Formats: sequence, C-alpha cells, structure tokens
Amino acid sequence: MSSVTDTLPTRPTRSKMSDEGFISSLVAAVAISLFLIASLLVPNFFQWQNVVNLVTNNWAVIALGVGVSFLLVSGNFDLSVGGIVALSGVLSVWFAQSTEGANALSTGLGLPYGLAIACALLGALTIGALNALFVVRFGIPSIIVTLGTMMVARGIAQVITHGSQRNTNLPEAFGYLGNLSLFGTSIKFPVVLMGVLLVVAIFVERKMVFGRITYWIGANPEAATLSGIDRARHITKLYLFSAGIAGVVGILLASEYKSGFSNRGLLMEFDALVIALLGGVAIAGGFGSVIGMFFGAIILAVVTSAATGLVLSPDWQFILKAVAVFLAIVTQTWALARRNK
Amino acid sequence: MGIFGKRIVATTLMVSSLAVSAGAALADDGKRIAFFVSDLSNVFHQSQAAAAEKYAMEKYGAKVVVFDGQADSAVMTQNVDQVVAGGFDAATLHIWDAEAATPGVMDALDEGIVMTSFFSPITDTGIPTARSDEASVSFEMGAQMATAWKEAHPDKPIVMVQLGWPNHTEVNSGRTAPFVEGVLSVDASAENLGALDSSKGQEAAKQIIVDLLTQRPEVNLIYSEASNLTVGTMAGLSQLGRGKFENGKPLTEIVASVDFDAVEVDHVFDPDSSLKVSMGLPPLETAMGRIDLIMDVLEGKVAPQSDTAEEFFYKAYTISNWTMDKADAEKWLDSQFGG
Amino acid sequence: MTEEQKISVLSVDGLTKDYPGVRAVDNVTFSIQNSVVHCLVGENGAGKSTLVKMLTGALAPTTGAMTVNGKTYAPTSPQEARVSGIATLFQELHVVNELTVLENLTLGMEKSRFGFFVKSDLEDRVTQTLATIEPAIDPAARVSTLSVAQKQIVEIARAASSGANIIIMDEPTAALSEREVERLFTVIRRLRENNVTVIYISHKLDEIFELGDTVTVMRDGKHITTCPLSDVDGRAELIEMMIGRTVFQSYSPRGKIGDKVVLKAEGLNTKLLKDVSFDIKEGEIIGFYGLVGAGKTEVARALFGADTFDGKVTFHGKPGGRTPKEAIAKGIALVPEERRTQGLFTSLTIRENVPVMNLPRVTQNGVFKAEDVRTAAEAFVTQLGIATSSIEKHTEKLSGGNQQKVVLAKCLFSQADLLLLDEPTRGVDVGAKTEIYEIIKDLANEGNAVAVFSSELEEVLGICDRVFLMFDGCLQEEIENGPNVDIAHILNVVTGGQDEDAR
Repeated sequence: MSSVTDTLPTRPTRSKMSDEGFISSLVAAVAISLFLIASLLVPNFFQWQNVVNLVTNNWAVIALGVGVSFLLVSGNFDLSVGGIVALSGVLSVWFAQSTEGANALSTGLGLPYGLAIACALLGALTIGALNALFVVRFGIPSIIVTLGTMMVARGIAQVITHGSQRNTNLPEAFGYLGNLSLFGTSIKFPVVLMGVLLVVAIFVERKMVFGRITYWIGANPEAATLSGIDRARHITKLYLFSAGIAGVVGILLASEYKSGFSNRGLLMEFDALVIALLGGVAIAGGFGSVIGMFFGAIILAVVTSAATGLVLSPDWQFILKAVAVFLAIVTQTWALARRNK
Repeated sequence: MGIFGKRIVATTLMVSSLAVSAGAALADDGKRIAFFVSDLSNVFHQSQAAAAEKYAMEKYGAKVVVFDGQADSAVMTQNVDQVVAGGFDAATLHIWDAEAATPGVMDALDEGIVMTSFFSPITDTGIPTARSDEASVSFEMGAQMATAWKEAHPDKPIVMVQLGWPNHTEVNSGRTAPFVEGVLSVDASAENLGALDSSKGQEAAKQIIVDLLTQRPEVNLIYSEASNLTVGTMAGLSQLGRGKFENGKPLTEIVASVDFDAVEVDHVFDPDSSLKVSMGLPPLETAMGRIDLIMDVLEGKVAPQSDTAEEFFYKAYTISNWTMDKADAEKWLDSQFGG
Repeated sequence: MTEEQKISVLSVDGLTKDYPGVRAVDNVTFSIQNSVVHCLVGENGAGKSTLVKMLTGALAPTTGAMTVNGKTYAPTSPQEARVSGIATLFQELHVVNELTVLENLTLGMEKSRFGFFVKSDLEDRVTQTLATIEPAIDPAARVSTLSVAQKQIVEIARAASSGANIIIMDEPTAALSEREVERLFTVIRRLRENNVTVIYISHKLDEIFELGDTVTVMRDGKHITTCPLSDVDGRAELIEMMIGRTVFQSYSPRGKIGDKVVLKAEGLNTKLLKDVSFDIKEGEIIGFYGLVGAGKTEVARALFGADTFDGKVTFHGKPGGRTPKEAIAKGIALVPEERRTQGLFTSLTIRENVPVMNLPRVTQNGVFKAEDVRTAAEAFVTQLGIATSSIEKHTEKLSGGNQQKVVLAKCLFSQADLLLLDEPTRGVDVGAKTEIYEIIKDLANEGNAVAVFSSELEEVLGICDRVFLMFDGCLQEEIENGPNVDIAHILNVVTGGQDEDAR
C-alpha cells in the first residue's frame, strides 16, 4: 500500500526540525509570550533582573527536573526526589553538627563537613538504588516504588529531626557552598551548578550513547533489549543519577539556609514532574528534551513571579498557575497533532 | 520504627521521652494534659513544649504530652480526635482551622475533657483562649521602623509589605493589621502593598522577596511574620544585594521578624544587617500561661465555656536594636530558651 | 451439497477481497447448513482469515454477497454481525476477570434487541445455556478463578445465549491442554445439538477429522471445495487439496556452503521445546518450518539468549550468549517476529534506528560521531533499497516492507555472522519480499550463516538449503531442499501426522 507512495520521486527535502526540537521551540515561545504578556500587565516586570530571577529562583526544581526528565524519557517515574532533597539536607546537617549540643536536636555526629556531605550524598544514592532495585529487579511499577521511597526518605528525615529541623551547632563551613557568589555577581554557586548540569544534560541527551539509550528504552523497551541494550543496568544508572542530583540539591539548600528541615522540598517532586510534562516530555516515555523541561519551568516561574508582583492572594495565584499549565499543555498537544497530520 | 506515619513518629518520640522523665512522678492525681503546638519545627514551639512539660510536672504533678500539628491544618484536626482516644483529662489546643476542629472539640467536651485554646478561639465553642499580646508588639515594631526610616530617608515614602498567612484571622489581628497601624501612626501617607502567602516556608519567602523587590524596588519596610520565613527573607535580600545597614542607618529597607531566637540575635544586633526588630514571644511565660489556664479550668477557677470565648493575654516582648542592647537580649533568650 | 433439504444458515456468493496488488479472496462461493461443525482449512495465506474478517464485519468485501439466516448480510462491525447471529471466539478472551460467570454472561445484554427481557428471565436463560453446554462451571464463580479453557467456554456460552446461531472459532485449541481440548469438543458438540452452527478453523488436521461434519478448503484465495468430511479420503487427500499442485520454483542450490559448523545446539529444552538439537554451517541458509505455536520463535530466542533454556549452544566453538547483549557481542543478530513491537523504535527515525546494535562502531568515548551515523544509515538505505525520502523519516511512517528492511539494517550493522530471521517477510508486500530474499542469499553467499524461522512453506522452500520441520516443540525431521521435496509429506509432518501411511 504505502510502498507505492514511498517509491514516488521524493519531494525536495527541506531541513525539517525534529519533533523534539519543534516542541522545545514551542514551549520556549509560550514562555516568552507569557513573559511579554506579564510585562504588559505587571509594572516593572520587563527587566533583565526579572529574567535572571526566573532562573535563580528555580534552580533547585530545574536541577531535579533533569533527572526526572531522563527517567520519564526512559518510561519511568521518579517521585522520590522531593523526599531525597529533605533527607540529604537533614543528613548533611546531622552528620556535621558537633557532638556536644544542649539537646537532641542540636547534637550531631561531628563529622568534618566534606565527609558529612559525602555521607549525605551516599544516603541519597541509597534511595536511588532502592528505586532501581524495586523497579528493575522486582518489576514493580515505578510510580508506586518511588511514591513509597518518597515517603521512606522523608520519613527518615523526620525521624532524624524529630519532625522538625536541625539548625544549630553547625561548623562555619556549612553555609559556604549554598551562599557562595560567583564571578563577583549575585549569582550563587548552586545556580551555576544547575546551569552546568543543564548544558551537560543537553549534550548527553543529544550526542551521547547514554542519552540515546534512554530514548531507545523509552521508545520500545522490548526492542531495546533485543537490540542488546542492558535495560536493567541503564535504568539503575538513571535512578542513581536522579537521586544524586536530588542529594546535591538537598545538601546545597541545607547549606543555603544552614538548616536541615524535614519538610524541605515538599511537593518538589510534583513540580519537577509538572515542568517536565509542560516542557513536552511524554509521560509514556521515548520523547522529550531537557531544554523543553527548562522552558516548562520558566512558564511556571513567569506566572509565580507575576502573581507575586501583583500581590495576588494565594487562591488567585493557584488558579492562575492551573490556567497556565492547562493552556501550555493544550497548545502543545494541538500543535503536535497539526504538525503530524 | 514505622517511618510512614510522620505524626505518629513525632508524637511517639515525645511520649517516650516523657515516659522516662515523668514516669515516677505520675503517681496520685497527676492529670494528663495534651499540649498542642502548631509546628514543632519552630524553635519557639520546641522551647514552649519543653517548658510546659517541666512546669506542669513541677507545679501540678501533671503529665504533658505534646501534639505536633506540623503546620498542617488536617493534622491538627486529627490530633483532637487523638485526645479523645488517648484518655486525656485536658487539652490546650493550637489549631489553625477552627471550623474543621469544632466537632472534635465538642465531642471531647462531651467526654468531659477540659479544653482551652491557644492563640485563636475555637469558633463558638466558648472555650477560654490564651494569647500572647502580639498586637501591641506588632504596633510598636511598626512605629519604631517607620520612625527610623523617616529619620534616615525623609524624602523616600514608606512602602510596606508583610510575608505570612494572608487568610489567617489571628495572624492578621495580632501581626499584620497592628503592624500596619503602627507604621501609619508615624506616617499616615505610607503605602501598604498587603500580605503575601509564604505558608510554604523559607524557599517561598525567598522567592517572593526576590520577585517582589525586583518589580517593586521601592519596598522599604518588611514584616516577616515568622522566624523561619525571615531566614528566606534575608536570603532573598542578600541575593538582590540588599539587606544591609550602614553605621546603624538603613540603606534600602528595614525588616521585622516574629519569634526572636538564638539565630536572630546576631542579625538584630549586627550594625550591618537590616533585620532590626523582632517580636519576642516568651515560650516560658506562654507555656506557664497555657498550663495555668488549663489548671484553673480544671480546678474550677475559670469557667470551662462561656458565650464568647474569654481571652487571657500574656506578655510578649519587643526585642529591638533601638531599645535594647545585645546583652539584655541574650539574657532574655537565655531565660526563655536556655536551660 | 448432498443434503439439499437442510437449511442453509450462511452462504457466500462470489465473495472477493482485493488489496493493492493482491487478491486475498477470489470469487468464493459456498454455503453452510444448519447445526453442523463446518471446518475451514487452508495453508497460511490461503485467505481464511480475510474471509473470516469479512464474515465478522471487520472488513468489507470488494465484491460479492453474503446471506445469513435467509437475510442479506453486509455487516460493518462485529456488533452488527452479532446482531445478525454471528459471534466470534477471538484468540484473546474478552471476559471480565473481576466479575462472576453470571455477570459476564449477562454483561451488556440488557440491550438485547428483544428489549423486553426482565433481568431475572435473562439470568435464568443464560444459566440454562451454560448448564446445557458445560454444567461443571458454577455461574456464581468469579471468572478470575477459572482456567483459560473455562473462560473460553464462558465466552462461548455468552455468544450462544446472546442469540447467535453461528459461532466462528479461530484456532481455539492453540492454548489448551489435551484434556481441555476434549472438553471443548464436547461443548462444541452440545452446541451442534442445540442448533448452533460452528465454523471451526484449525491447522490441526486430526482435530478436523475428529470434530467436523463438513469442510471448506481454500488455496491461494480461491475456493477449492466444500463437502462433507466423510467424502474426504483421509489426511492425504485433504493436504493434497490444500496445497494443490503448486510448484515452489525458486530454490536453486547455491553450492557455496562451507563445512565449518558455526553454531551447534544440543538438547535445547524450554517450556515448549523438547530436546532440540541441530547445527548450522558457514554460508548456509537453514529453515525452521512449522505452524504457529510449533516452537520456531522459541528456538530463535533461545539461540539469541532472549529466553532462558536448558541445553547447550556452541557458537564458533565457544558457549553462546545468555543475553541478547552477549549474543550480539559474539556475532549473532535476531530479526524478531513482531517487527513493530520487538524490532523497531517506531517513534524514531531511520538514522536513529540503524546504529543501536553496534554502538562502538559509530561512537568514540561514548559520544556519537554524527557523520558516521548518517553515512551508515544512508548506506543501508541505498544497499537495501529502503524507499524513503530521507534517513530522518520516522520509521512508523514506512511501509511494512521498508520497516522490515530497517530492522534488517540494524542487524547487518551489528556485523553478525549468524543472522536469525523470525518471520522475515510477514506482512511485507510481494516486491519487498523478493528483495529481502535476495538480501538473505547475498548474505549467505558472503559466508554468513542464516537461519529463517517461518510459517510460510513457500518461503522456506524458496531460499533455505536445509529445512527443519517442527511440531509441538520438537524437531520432527530434517530435509535437504531440492527439486524433489515432498510437500505433502512436509505438511503431514507439521500438522502432527505420525505414520507414513497417511500419505
């Protein structure tokens, strides 16, 4: 049937953008349009500093979005990242707090800071390993597994902080990384780190075997296995990668606020998921890009920032966000359907 | 230990630690009192809880069990049911969503459990309420900040904003509204942008400050209505290159906080920081006041219910760089939080 | 048509179905009487499934007419077919596991065309129907507790009680054990006693002789005969009618087969396979022929390390791979049975599909050499004649034949020296088929070993040098291909024929 049309003389090929490129551009266009609309409605919105804020205010969730996007592309969820943020932050504080505190919450293990964060990171990776174990080895759906480990991670954080926070008896070095300004500007080290992560992730996704294997697995897991891809191994790496990012984010946030707070990162896993979906990552896997996810985050950030500038009540902020998410997703679906008609 | 039920974990920890310290004294007519706090992650509530345990045991031989509301209305409401199930004699509540908790409170009253409230009355149940006298402190802080600003920058009009819980009645009546009045009492032409929702915590506070002050750089009086929010507020200001004083003079803004604590003492008395004043909520006196009130009801000195809830106020302190020196503030902290 | 006095419940007249370039069903005319078990037989590709699809409303005929229960019949959907009295027992069952047998039987039937059934009547009626055909099933039992065979019977009961008087069963015994088959036959006979006509499609000729009253034989889309089975003189005559005097012309010995054994399999056992042993030589094309479910795919997957198995595979004198990854590394590649779900990444482009089985060839330190990937993809498009406007085309937009060539390209890119091809031309148009055969022969001529696993006899006899006949997980026989191959014998073996006298 279609072999007939296939053998017809080919039309002159114009260089056609990939679907991913198309969606990423679309999401970027939506983000920029929203920014311009907000600039019309909100006084003083249209300025460079505000653009910078959109990124710097959201470095944590964008960083988490990288790991979550890779996993989504491979066809797996990671809802544990918010819990890991809390856990690694709390662990880093607990490990670093000096051993002689006035009460239980101000007494820690007294490890040197470097060792403390290394151990905290190890804790985060353990959660990632648990995710991989249950998803890969026991074949339990990832959404269930990571929902469970999300509670495990946060639960441990709450046990360590007695359900509250640890913020005393910390060494001087503890606040350094989270508050380090680079290049003599107000841009902080965590933001720069997120930028580096983003660039590396884009390179890995586009140019590297590791990235393409992620897409192959997401596009057709069975074909991937039959093509000689070790799926279990790769998904394990992705969960460790995602948990590692979440661990670093948790450590940096703890450092920035000099506290280990068991409720930190609450609902961040859902924000990370939402920005990835907003950015065009397919919930069924095999499709999406980190650039799209980044602009997805910017869409949400523009709305939040504009609502703050207008001093909107919490209810209206919520409604505004819901409308923006809805519009962005509808636009995307519609545009992709039209393009592929 | 189960790690899924976070509330249970927190409660269990408190209960088990208490059981060790108070087990022996729980002899004769030792009453069991449920002591609600909204959020144990807050140092103030930590100290308040500790003080209440100690004070109740020493003065009344009563055993206090702390219920952590975890800054979550639903948890607080559930905790009320726990009181009934746990066979307590009395409970001093700290509830945000009074409507939701009312049926539980009524049930508890029917069971003969003595109920008092802290901070906010519980709808029309008419149970007595213990409150810190926050309003006068908020007013005083507003007035001091406005005065200081006008002195330093007579030509720059005052623009103020509050970070907290815009939908919360008692926060509004004790903090937001009197603060605004205090500022207006000094400069009636001051502009008020209003209160912004920071209930998500310090990261939210930081984001709001960064976004708001980029778009409204003219904001110069900021009331950060809880100490953990102030951490985020100051982080946001620092990111924007603000948050500074020079030789005791404000440069871009003045910040006020609530729940003065050991972390804030260094800021308030730092000549280069723009955090200059904070409401000193005395955990000790609050704890004693709450315990005294509930024991008064138990002993019949105060009516368990009345048509409109009776309010009993306890002193709160204005810890201010302008009216206090660091040594005094540290002494105050030590008496309230130390030991 | 010997018993003209019996009523004809279904007749087709001049039924034809054309696909572009292919006439799948060619002017078929026959009729089926009431209350019989009517068998439909023919080789793969004879047109049986197309005919069934037209009967069930899944396909519309190009020309021709059908009559069911005395009325003109032109269904446009399975629902319409059902209303006219034709129900189909699909391979995959449509029962709801969470409900009871009774609930399953009445599900959706409140909307019966009679409309006036009150529920209790309906329940009585279906319970009775079930009791008639299989009293051993408790109507109150939860369907999830039943065996596959019992679920099948529940579906049959559902079809029968919905008023259908013609039930089509397509290979209903494929997943059943011997005892379950017997029970199913009992059920089918009870249906016949209750005035239901069963159209029974099976490759297993023994079943047909045991169960059938009448038979229709099809070959190459044409109707060969419709007659009572008692008129057929045993398996041999039936097979003869199925294959006709078709000459499989295309095989010519290539004479380049080496002596070196590339792969040796000894005593492969899996759930299905029983003690399978064989070897493959350098430059040789061997074929595995058998019906669906005979175990061909299982052999291919075992050699490729895709399934676990007992037994020994030696490849170039060393143990074979235990995972696909290992197998590929050792030089074995598989073109899987299901191209779209197992072979291709349909949402990705040709360029993105080609390199996956041999990444080191186009990467350096884990980074793709983009130019090399493009060159490789372009080369395969040219070499295999993949009809596409560009290597950036998504493979889901290619025709079946071109998709299959992309899968082949993937395998060739791996530089394997043993290629396992499972149903390499299924769903591929004739032109592409020939091209794929040429590619396979070229590969063998270059000294590669190729194993073709196919349920198309013409394919196997067209290109393979040696053919293994499979039935029920066993290698029944090995035959050398050549001009004197006895096709009737082959069909006898792969349909489970044991004794040589049946010829």
